Amino acid sequence: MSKKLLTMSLIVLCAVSSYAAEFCIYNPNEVTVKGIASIALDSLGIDKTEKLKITRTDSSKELPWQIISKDGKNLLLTALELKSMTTVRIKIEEGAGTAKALVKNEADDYTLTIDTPLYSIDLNKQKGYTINTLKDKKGGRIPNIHQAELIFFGSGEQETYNGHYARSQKEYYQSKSKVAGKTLYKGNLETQIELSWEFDAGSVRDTVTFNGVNRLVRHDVQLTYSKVMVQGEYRLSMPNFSTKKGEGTVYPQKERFPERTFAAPGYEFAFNPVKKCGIGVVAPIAQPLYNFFWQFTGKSEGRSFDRCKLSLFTDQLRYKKLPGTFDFSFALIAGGSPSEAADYAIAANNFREFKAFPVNVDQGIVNSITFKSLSLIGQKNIAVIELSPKCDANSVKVKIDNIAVASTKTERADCLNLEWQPKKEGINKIEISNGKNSFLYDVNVKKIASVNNIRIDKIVNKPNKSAGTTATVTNHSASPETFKLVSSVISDTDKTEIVNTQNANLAAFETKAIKIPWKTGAEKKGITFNIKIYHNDKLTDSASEYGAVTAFVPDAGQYSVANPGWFKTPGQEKLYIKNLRNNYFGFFEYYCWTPCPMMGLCPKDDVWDAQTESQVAYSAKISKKFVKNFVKVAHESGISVFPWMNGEIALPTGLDNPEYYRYGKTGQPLLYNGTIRKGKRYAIAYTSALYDPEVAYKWGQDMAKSIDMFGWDGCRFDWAFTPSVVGDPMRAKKSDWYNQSGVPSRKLFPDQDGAGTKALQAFRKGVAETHPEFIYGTNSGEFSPEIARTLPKYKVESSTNSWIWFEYLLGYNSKRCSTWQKWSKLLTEDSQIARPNGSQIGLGWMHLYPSGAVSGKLMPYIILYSGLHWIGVTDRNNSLGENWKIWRYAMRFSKYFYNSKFLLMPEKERLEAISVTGSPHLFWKQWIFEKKAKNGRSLLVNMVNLPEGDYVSERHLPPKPQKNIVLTFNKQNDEKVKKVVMLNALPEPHSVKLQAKTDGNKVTVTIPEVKWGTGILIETQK
Amino acid sequence: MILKKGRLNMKKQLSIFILAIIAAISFLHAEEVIKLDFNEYPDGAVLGKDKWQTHMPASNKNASTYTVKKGQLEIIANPAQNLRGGYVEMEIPIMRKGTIEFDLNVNHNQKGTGLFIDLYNISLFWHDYCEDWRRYFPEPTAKRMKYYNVEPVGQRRLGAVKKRKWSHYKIYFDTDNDVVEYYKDDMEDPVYIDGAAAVLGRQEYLGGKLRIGSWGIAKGPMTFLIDNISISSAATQNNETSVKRDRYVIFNGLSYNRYNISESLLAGGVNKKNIRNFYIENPKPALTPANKFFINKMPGTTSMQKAKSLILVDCPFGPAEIIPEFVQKNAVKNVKQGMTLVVFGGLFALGKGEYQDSYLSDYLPVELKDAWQVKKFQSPLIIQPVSNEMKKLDWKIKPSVVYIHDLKPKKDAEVLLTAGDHPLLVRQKLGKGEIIVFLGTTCGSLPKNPQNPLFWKWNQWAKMVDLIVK
Repeated sequence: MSKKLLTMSLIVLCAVSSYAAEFCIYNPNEVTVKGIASIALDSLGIDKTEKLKITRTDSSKELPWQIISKDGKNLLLTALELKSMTTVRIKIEEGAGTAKALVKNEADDYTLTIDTPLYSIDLNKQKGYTINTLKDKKGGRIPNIHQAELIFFGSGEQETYNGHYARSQKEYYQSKSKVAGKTLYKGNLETQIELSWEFDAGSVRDTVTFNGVNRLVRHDVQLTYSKVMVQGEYRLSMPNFSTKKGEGTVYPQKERFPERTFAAPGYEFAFNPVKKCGIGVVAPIAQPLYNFFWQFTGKSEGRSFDRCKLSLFTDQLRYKKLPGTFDFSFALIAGGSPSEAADYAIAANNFREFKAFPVNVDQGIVNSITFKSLSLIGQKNIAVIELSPKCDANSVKVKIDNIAVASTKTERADCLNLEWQPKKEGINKIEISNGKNSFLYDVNVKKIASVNNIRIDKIVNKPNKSAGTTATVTNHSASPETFKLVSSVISDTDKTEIVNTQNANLAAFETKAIKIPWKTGAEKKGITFNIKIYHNDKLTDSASEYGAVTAFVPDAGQYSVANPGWFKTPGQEKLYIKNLRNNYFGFFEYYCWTPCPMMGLCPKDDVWDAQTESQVAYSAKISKKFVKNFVKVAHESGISVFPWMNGEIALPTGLDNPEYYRYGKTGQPLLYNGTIRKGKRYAIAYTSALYDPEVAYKWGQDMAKSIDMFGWDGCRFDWAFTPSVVGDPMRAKKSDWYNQSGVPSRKLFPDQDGAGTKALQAFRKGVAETHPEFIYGTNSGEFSPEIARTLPKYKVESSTNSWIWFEYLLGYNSKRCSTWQKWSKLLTEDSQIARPNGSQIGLGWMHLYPSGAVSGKLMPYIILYSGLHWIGVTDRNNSLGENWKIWRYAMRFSKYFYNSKFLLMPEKERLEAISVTGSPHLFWKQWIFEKKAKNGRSLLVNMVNLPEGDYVSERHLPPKPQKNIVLTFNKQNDEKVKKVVMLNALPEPHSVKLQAKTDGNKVTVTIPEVKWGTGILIETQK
Repeated sequence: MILKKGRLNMKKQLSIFILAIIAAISFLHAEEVIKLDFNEYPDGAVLGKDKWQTHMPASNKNASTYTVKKGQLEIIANPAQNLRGGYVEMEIPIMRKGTIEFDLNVNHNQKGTGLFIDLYNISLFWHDYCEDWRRYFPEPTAKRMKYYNVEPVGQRRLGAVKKRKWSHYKIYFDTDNDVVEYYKDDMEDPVYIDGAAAVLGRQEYLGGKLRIGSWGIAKGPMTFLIDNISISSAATQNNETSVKRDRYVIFNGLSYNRYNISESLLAGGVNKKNIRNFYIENPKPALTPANKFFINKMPGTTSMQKAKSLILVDCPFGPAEIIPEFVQKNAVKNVKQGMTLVVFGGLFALGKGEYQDSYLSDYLPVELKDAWQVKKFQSPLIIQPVSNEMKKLDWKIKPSVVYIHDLKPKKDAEVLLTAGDHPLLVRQKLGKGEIIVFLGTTCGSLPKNPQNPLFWKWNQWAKMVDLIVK
């Protein structure tokens, strides 16, 4: 209720000793709500009283009440239950109310206990008034609450640059702070406490309100800060939430693992159906809250103990002004069932606090409002307004979203009919006023039908195959309807092809998953799959999803790595793959998985112990069944799987075949590690044998058998055929090693380039004989011009249609990568050594790019615009993580960004061909690529808006958007510009045609705005 | 040692008590010189009035405090400059051989370096930044710990320390043999041994004193609790021959899982308590063309004196002097007194383990060659018994070997087993004991169900190990 309305409300009707007033209470929520209405006491003409009686006029039921002082005002609170989107009148009069007290607030030296009819909470004073226990009086007790507290994260970056600024962020825990707590008020219906504490970057005040009629515990938090903060978090951590069976789940997803994040607003609720206990958090609309995170692990996920962790994060604070304050509100759901929690989430936007409007007095306007039809966009909407007795119908004016709407009189003099066609989806604000006062009413307007979700069965599809897409569609109307669904595939920049048209019959309010079969057709690279839904030939809704159609998966997606240290338990595969899809990854690697990297590609046993370089850190038992299954699940989602391969040999295999070892000058095999775990030694050693083309060929044949066994799509080498690796023949002159007889490597491999090349060719031949589509991947070690010069044959062999890691360019703190410009130059120019041979290149695992920071936002653009793929963790599940949007963009426009035929133009030529206006921070000169064709050419000019400051750092402030940038293209005499298109990432991947103006050989286009980055595609013809 | 309630849990107390008794028995001629349990002081007493002398810097009289509380010594080390945090000390008679033991609780959460305890030239300190315990002996700057450019030369990390937990420490010193052994909680085998330590050393360093003090490197006060200090002397000529040799000390090298020595001994009826296993590790990723081995612990004087056999299983001596020369000397000394030293071959042993030019090489019964003497035989070599002891085994099925160290026995050595025409097990007496070398390696493989299984898969292998080792 607006404060203005309250302060302007009633004139005193009655004498102090005798009064009566009526109020209209409105529940704007789509569910029945038990909530609390507050009324300014001075509007009743009384100060404070103990003689009061409140009753509902519809049932004569007496309601509980409480008077509180808040912000210098006395307020009357009353509690009642109201059905969805209805109004009810209450009567307030002098009298001895009999409603009983519902809330208790009691404290001793250690604990503050809040007790309501629904739950009982103990707050631990020794741990900053954080929740110690929560007992649901209608369910069970949460077994063990380890954390239920606010945490604030401060930027930890150091002040001075010493190659980098990195330092981990600071964490400020409520439970570790000296928290002062005081009760602001307590009584029958509500109690409110204020918790406050300080830390070295600021202070916090958390006002917590508990009520006796529902389970929402409202937190109103104010953070005051003097140093750069990153984010705030409310965290619940509960060990032993489930038993070993792992029965607990998180709603509404009903999932446990892996850890997930979901955007706010909304709710997350952890529930154990056996113990009948639950707890959750609600993020209301319009609060500066960013996302939820949860992690549920236990025995069934291969973890040693069960723990439920559930967090709600605030928006990013990194770029707020210093000093400053930051306010946010959220609610804890104290107990209840999953369905209750869902209801709470719907009705939490106003924390279940009702608006109260005075009626039956001079200022009263509306008694009730009743809708006769659904609130659907474009449809006729009818509502009947019953006015207050003293309200003159002629004086009433109605506005919807500030636009006047005519109302008509009805047979009843005190009623008005309201008819309108909503044009805006979502909340429509109805304002009914009589010139003196206003009645405000929110109505939620929906489309008649919506496409809620699109899932292309396979994110990366092979060309010329049958494919499928599933769309979830909802009929929001109260009658059965028939809708037409038109599905199309958009490729290139705007080439649209309708792939399916079908009708869908949906019952009233029905949500249905509709299967859409389609043919992939020719190679397209990235696509948009668009679905339009029509009702009576009128477009009702439209939605898109993004994917790819390609035979060579590295052309389209990003790459991740699953480590058997954690990825080994049945049950993980579906969610892991789902997460990769959500982040637009096309393929991933199973790392360090074999019983022997060199000779264990086809494990003989059903379950084996991994013996690889990772056993420095952990041991892992892996089952054949699990590996086969996750490859199958990945393929069902269009995700390819590459096993990690390595030119090292495990101890048992090495002892069986000592001739495969690579020896040092002491005559010992050169070991990579030698850890002992549970009485077993894990020792991986370098091998020399694979440089024998015969051995390499057999190794390739082993790989082929491994594909038959598991279904791999490619592989990714590490520590083999890598010129920077110690002991590689290509480094034979740099570091001596020996064979079993003591012959030094320089004598074994006089032609180093040839040795590596022949061995690699032999391996590829061994696989390709039976699996010609197999994709070779490698960690390049170093792909510098120096390597290209000294190892020309190897360079060509290893980069022909391959997937290549540029792990060597990760060093943000090395001088050569310390600025975005230097890094971009290295990425772009070194990749030109590999790209012309058809390779795709990736890099990742870079540090210093925290999600949400400017550097975190820029990094994926820089990698993409240099023509490289991301290798590493997904981002959609990180708080503040938005890189998935850039990866989605990368997949959609992979035909351009990842096209190995687009070659970097030589510096002189490219700067003659293109010039761009704008501030010096607009970085583009490194990224002008050209693809030549018989009848013309295509140019791709990528640009990012860099922040101020030379070094790669978290400290950047967001760059100011650059507007009206003029790009000039100096075309050749014999070519014409066909089109100029801007390829944009946000809010979703889309292309925008730019108007080209030609003046002689000068062609100019104006780019309206570059906030972070854009790609400009110029196509010409001769 | 006096045990106090509530400091260590009962199980730990009991185990420490038993171990202390064992340790005491091992030093049969020990005579206790001094015992400090601080029970004699009233609560709140400050050290410095009787046998203790206090030394504080003139500018900071409260650099550190030494107060007895509830029968324990509480030390508060306050921040100080230039490592001058003050100390208390008391005169201690000069002992050439003995132990100092104490209980200690690092009872603070500061990041710093506070407490030191010195006895003679042995200096111990607690590094509360790194949460570990270290020793310091003056050493040349070339021996500075890697990456430590400002801290004293001669320091060495001895092990991790958990803050706010009581631990029991023991240091055994023997100045005549230049040995200092450092024990923490496990009183059986030390966490480290100094093999060339000048325990009494230069008089100007400390002389006959026990000193407890503070370096004062911290931002705030650091609290330490000490109790049950006990300094005991041991007779300089211990009658080692009277100690029963019933232990098997095993250095497990790279292929120890295949040799299965420990399990074979257990199968042969050896009590698990009498098997002491030590492991050669190379845990960190090695990016350079050289192995970086280390041994997780060292057998202490007690273990060596009680060892019936010291067994090196495919165990390298280098690179980086994994088995220091003083350990080799001690091993030879114990062989002369009745111990058996057994060396099992492998890709990391003998010539491939840098045994050439080692102290031990002169005592081995084979002539060592270079690093490339392991030879593969295209057909597996059949193993045959030569000695009567070996003939006692069941030889109906004969084992085989594919890779052996192709070495010649020394003049006085006895061949116990052969592989084809090559010596495989060679023995030589030394004093009251003997040194045995097994020249086979656990390398190579055979097709399934071979007529002559590889020796470590042979059904008599455990018994053979039993015979060799015992």
